[in-house]
Amino acid sequence: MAIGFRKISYIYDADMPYFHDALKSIDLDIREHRITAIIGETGSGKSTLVQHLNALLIPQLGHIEILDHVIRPGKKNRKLKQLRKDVGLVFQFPEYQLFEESVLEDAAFGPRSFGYSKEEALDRARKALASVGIPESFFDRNPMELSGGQKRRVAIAGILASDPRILVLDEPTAGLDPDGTRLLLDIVLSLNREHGRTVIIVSHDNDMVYSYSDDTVLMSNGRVVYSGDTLSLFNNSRLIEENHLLVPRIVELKNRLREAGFEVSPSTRTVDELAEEIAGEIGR
Amino acid sequence: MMRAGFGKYIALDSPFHRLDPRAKLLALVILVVSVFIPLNWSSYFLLAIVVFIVIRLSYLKLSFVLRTMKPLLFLLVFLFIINALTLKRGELLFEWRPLALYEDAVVFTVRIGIRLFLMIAFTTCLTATTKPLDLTLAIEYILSPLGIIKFPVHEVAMMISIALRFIPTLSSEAGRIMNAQKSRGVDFEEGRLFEKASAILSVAVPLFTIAFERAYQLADAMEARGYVPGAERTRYRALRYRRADGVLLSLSLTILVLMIISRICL
Repeated sequence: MAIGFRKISYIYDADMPYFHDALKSIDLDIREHRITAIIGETGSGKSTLVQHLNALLIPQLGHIEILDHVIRPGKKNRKLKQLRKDVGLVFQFPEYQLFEESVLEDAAFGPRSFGYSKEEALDRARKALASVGIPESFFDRNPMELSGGQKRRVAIAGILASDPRILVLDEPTAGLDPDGTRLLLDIVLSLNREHGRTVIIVSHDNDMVYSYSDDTVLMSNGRVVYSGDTLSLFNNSRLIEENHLLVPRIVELKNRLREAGFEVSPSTRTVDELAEEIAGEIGR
Repeated sequence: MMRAGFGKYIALDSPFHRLDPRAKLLALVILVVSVFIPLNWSSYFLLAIVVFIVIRLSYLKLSFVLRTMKPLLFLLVFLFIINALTLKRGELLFEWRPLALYEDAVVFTVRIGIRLFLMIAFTTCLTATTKPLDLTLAIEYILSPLGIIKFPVHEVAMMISIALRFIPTLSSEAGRIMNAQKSRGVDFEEGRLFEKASAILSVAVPLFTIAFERAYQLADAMEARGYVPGAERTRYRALRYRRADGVLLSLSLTILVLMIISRICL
């Protein structure tokens, strides 16, 4: 198990008349080496949950087990730096965290802060930038000159350079065009499939969630409503209806194909897979 | 994420929230002047009761108002040390080698402490119950006579309200950027001088970028909606005095008069 939440509660402005209990006794397990999506309406507690993964918020009740770290309320939690190195958190619109003079230096900033030597940090930065498809000719440029999609990939490389064991992305594709979105998701997928990294994605995009994630955590009103296999969630019409989930387009398409008499496997995730399946069926 | 503090608006629906901002601002000025008039303790006691009533009518917690006073404590300690060293009038209270503490030093410090305490409490009640934008509107109304001497009242008020409007936006952006940099291993609490400087830079650079971006967007949005600086404008939300505002102002004036009488007669 990569991450375990044990009865976690968090209240904002607890001593104010307008307090807001963002998390209500969350119990949750997130599996290692998987892609887990966290979905739910705005204000359901996703961002609060995610900030606990990096000890940016310390639980007020309960405790969290992350890899071999345990975070408890109140008392000074030490070794936060090691935790933050182990869990890389990519915030919404991460391009705003760029501040160094060159792309390479910015990507090396994380490893530098975590105590790597200058050469080692630069070396890691180069590899990370290459893994997100930033060519070497960009390394000396000012990050502010890049396009939106490129800035975002540089920012993500800045997290990857510290070699986190768990990568958390908050709405990674918000504001990207379809090509940029696809490119980014393929990078994330290969990080998981080829390098075995545990990935957690907060998202509003159920199409993406269905195609890319193994597990899904559905949050509503500060509670976990569903946690488990992604396919089972979107094949469960009761859960979809109760939580007003937007059905992924590929699921709609599969349903229509079934109505038209095709046999479609419930585990088909992408359009390409679906096309192959149908082609096979017609060819038969 | 949100931290309570001095000058923060607290969205509640209290009798004080509903008062006209101009009346509240004027009442604040009158009450703050009143705080600095009297010398005798019973007047301060009366003002403390007034503060307490105002806090209750604003639906604020006493603990919240007290928390805004923390910086005041340092100031008072500092002031007390200076007073103790320089004020040598009144009865001798305490002597140790060359150090001597006289009665006046204590009385002066306590009096200034009480005055500042009352002033900050009143001000907190105003800022906590009045939206920043309403407050600038009130400032604009009160300053409007200055327009006669070609003082750009409206432009200044607009600048103040934009600045106020962007404080929460920029502070939440700063919080987000700080979180992002913390995740990249920046330690804002500890570290050597060089690391501290780099930590500040890692927040300041993105924050300036965002501020400029926002400024350009806002300028475009204002122009797109036909804003011309200095042009005659009408108001969507007209402020109107009600009976309660009159009551507030007359009560404040009564307190002012009482304080003047206490200063003269006691």
